[in-house]
Amino acid sequence: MLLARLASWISLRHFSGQFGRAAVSILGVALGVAVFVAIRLASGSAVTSFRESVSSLAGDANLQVSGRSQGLDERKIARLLAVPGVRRADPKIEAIATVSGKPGESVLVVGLDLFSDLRVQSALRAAARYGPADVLPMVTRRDAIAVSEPFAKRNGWKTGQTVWLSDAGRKLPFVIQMLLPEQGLLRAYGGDVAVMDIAAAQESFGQIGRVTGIDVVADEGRTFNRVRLEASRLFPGAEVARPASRGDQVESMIASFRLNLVALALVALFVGAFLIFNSVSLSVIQRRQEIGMARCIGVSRTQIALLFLGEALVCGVVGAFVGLGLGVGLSRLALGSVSATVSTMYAAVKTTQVFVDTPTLVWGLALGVVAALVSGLVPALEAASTRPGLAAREGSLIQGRRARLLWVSSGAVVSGLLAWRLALWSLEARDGLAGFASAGLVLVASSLAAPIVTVGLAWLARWPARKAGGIEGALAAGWIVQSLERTAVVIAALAAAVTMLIALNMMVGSFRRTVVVWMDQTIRADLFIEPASRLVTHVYSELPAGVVNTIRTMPGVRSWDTLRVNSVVIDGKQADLYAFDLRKMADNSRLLFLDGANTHQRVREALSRDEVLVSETFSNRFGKKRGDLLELATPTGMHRFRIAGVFYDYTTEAGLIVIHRPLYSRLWKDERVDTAAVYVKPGFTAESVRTELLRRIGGRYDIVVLPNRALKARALTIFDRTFAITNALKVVAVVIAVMGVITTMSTLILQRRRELGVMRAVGASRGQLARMAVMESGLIGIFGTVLGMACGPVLAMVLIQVINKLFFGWTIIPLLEAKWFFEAAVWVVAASLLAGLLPARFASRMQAAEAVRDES
Amino acid sequence: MKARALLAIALLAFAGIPALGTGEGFERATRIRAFTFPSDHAAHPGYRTEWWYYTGIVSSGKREFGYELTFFRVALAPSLRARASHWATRDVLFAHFAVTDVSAKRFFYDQRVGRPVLGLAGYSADKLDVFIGPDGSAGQWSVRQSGEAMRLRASANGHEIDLTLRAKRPPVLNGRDGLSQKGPGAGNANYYYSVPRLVTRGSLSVQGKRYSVSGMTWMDHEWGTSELAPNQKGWDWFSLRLSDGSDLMLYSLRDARSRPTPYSSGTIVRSDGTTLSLSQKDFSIRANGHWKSPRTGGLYPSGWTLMAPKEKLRLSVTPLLKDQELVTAGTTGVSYWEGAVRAEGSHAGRSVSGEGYVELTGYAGGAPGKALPGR
Repeated sequence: MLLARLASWISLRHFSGQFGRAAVSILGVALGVAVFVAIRLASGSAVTSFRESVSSLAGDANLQVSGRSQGLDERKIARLLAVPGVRRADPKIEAIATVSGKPGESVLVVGLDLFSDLRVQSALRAAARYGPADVLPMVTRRDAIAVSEPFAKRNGWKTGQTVWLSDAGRKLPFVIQMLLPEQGLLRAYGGDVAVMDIAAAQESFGQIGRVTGIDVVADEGRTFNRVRLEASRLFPGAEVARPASRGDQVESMIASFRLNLVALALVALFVGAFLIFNSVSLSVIQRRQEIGMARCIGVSRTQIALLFLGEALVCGVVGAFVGLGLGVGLSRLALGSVSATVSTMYAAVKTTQVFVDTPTLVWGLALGVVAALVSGLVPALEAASTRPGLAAREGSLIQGRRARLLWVSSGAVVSGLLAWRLALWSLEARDGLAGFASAGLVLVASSLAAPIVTVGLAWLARWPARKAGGIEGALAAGWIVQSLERTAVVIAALAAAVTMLIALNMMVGSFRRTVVVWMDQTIRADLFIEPASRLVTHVYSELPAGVVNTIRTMPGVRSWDTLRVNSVVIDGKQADLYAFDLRKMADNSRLLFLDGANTHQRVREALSRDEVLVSETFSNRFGKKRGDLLELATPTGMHRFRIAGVFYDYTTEAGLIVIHRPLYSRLWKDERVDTAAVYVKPGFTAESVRTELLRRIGGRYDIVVLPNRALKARALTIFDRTFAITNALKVVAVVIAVMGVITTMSTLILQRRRELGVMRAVGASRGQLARMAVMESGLIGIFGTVLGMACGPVLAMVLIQVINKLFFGWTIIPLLEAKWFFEAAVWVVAASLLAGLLPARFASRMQAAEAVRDES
Repeated sequence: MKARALLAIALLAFAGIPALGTGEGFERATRIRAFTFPSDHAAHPGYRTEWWYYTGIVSSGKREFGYELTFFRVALAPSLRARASHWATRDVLFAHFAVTDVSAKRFFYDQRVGRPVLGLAGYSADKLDVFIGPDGSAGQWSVRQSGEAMRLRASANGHEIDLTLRAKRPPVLNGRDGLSQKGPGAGNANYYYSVPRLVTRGSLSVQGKRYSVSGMTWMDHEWGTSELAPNQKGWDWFSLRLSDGSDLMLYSLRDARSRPTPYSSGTIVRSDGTTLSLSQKDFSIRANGHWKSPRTGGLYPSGWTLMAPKEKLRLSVTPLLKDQELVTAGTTGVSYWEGAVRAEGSHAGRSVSGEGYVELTGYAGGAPGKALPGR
């Protein structure tokens, strides 16, 4: 009861005046929570979509054999069925095709045994309107498909209509025989599914003699593991797993991607917490007199502390709830981008809806509230320490300021040292959380350093400020130090934002530059040819043999090579396998080896002993070095390969194994290719060869021919898309910080009415007051920026050398570009100056008499 | 036998595969042919439909069982156009398997669909060899020539048969020397023979419990390219072995008003091996009672009086178990009753007993050919 009345007296009375400040605090928390929630929901939804897709497709199957790129020998299905404990073994052909004339539209085509597959049977029964005559062509024709109703509707398709689908560079006509309701297997791939007979699917998608997967219903219990072993033995090199575990695998693969984004979201929240700290601190200072009076009439310290904590809590709760709503909305926007990133990096997925999960909401709420409470704690305790007495002056200087400054500054040093130790330790122990803790400590250290840095910078700024700004400048610099309790908080918040801005710019920028340099050195071919579908589905698919044959006989081609992409599983983790002709690669291009070795030399070694080369990411992820042995499951059994060298690579964080094409073809029994690279003869231009190539093959196949520059540009587009969310976060942090400056400055000016009134009274002009306000604000901006600029590169190094190493394993060459610092400085200082304008107008309008009278 | 042609085609319809128009391009049963055995037990892929029907009654001590194992082969097209996929097929195989545990009053059944490719299912045109499920798999269902004998194997959910069948008498040709006219028009007929008495030995498992059994099995084998008459609601079919050594096969095709049509017919095999064909006016079937299916709601006749005055035959036929209905909605959508029966009565002035199987269709829902999937 008492607390409620106190709240109405101390807190609510001021509420109207502080509305703006409260709103900004709330918004700060809301944005932090929103970004956190949006990232978790979007990446979680991609995983959920994948899981649902897998389970819709799997039906009753409890074991899936998937053939990776090489497929599964159809003749062995009978043998799998003979394994004791196997009840069913349903073969399938899966292909992701693009839809001609519908840019961006893709469909999962599933070929199944229409006679005996129970999934198809139930799908057909669900479509009651069709009679036997509608079903017959499905088994007798090559081109008959049944399409999910919503998908057909979206594309305006009707039964009987011919549609063109492209897969692996081939454009094929299909007749829509039936529309099936979206249930069971038709819910896979976001519901964009076409079903056909397995025979027709094999013929349409070039899979004669093989199937892409087998869904097994096996007895649970004793025999299950034997079935699993037998399946692995029958289909060496295939993935044999429970359907659910495929989702787990995607989830674990996406985990580091997600964790990093979440960590960045936490930085946004960190900045938001500063705003609350700032806001509550200001209320404490503003109401010092009332607190003193309350203490006089017997209000306890705890009650005072609770009162201000309550204020922080209200901001936190309201902000968190607003953030949840905002986050759910934002996640919808992020969905496409996250989905594309996941498809590029891991597995084809179509995410069409946001799956809102309770843990994420609870976490978001808890984060917002905890951040608010923690940031409100210090000012609340500060308020509680107020001695009883009417004499307590509003905004009075706190006793023992020097001691406190010393304490806070030592805290900064300790945090900095701790960050350093943690960074080293986390690298040693390969502990990612310690890496994040280290990054967090850098931010804490920078915040704690804010007061001492402010004092130092203000001292340094006295002369320049006086020179440039006259008496107003000197006053402004002096005032910032006098009001250190208030200004240091804003400066710290700004510094945190600038630190993050510069660190992220530096990390992403260095990374991008490293990739560009690497691409220039290793991507040398003039033209790249691949199926057009990859642009839509983000997954590799085969190049028709006809295209390769055309390339072989093209005039103007000096040399050409092909790439086949497959995958392998080592210790339960998936890595990519690239097969190309190492000799041709060595002649035309090169790999950059970690030990600086010559490409020709390493390739010679690898060729002479049937060895493989691995990427740096692979080496980090699997703990393998040059000379180590790798044991890989191939369709011809287990084979051991020595690692001939480790090279820099930025194509996939999953890790890459490069194998000589003839060796791959022999062991994997796979002759197909995914992309082709062409080196143009002197005297020809890439463009002329490209035009001729397209003329010869363009009509028959759905392929794209990318010039070297376009391929690099696309790689960078993918790169930029991966970091799009990071960029958004940078902006959010800066916006939050700038809002903090605006509200703080307004409040501080309001508080100084009396002082300003006195200044007016002793002859200060309106212009002088306004200039002073703008300069104060500008100096705050400059101080925050300077501190942030100092800490930014430190944080960047933690991100590049610790977090990236632990989670992704890439080598990023750290770069400093003046542009990033300049950009941060311009943004923040300009924003701070602008932030000062409003208070400046206010200050300049002040009537001396009124201001002085008001305070008496 | 027309009734089973209907069933075969109905099965196709329910599996989502329609009966194919006029049957153009297929061979037709237009004239009497010379049957040779055992080679005619094999498949005749030139004809559109074909089926092998085995129904038997076996016992182990005092325990009595009935079983049914049936394979259908249906061609989707006269020939396979050049197709690259090994999954492309011109035929589909279907099979039904049922066990009646007479003593325990339990009935069990299951079904399979097979694509005769890549060893997953198959048939041979050279010898009796029809199977669904690959060799070596516990779930394989098969009928195979094994020397002089035939071997039947099927298993599902703990119910299993592994039986060896030896013919006691040569096959009996039905219709006119094995040419069974199905309707008006030349070629609208099937080749049809029966082996009424196959001495049966082997094992039969019910709910995982295995019994050594012996008994007698009736085999029907029929193939042709005949068409459906539109006005048929269903049929009642009887196959009985009598204690005086004679065998009886009868079927009555019912029209929309449940009256027997002129295409109903039968065959009596006397103990000396001579046969007598019966036309619709030579016999009568009267239902003595009814049984209502709790699953489909179908009202089936249950218990009959069969009379063939020319042969001085009068039999009272009783199901060994009321509920021997196969509801195959899961794969084929057809529901029918096919069950083991016992007979009592007189033949040529002497009292006889008998055993055999009865098949009843068209009682649950409409005519099988017209019902829709998803029922």
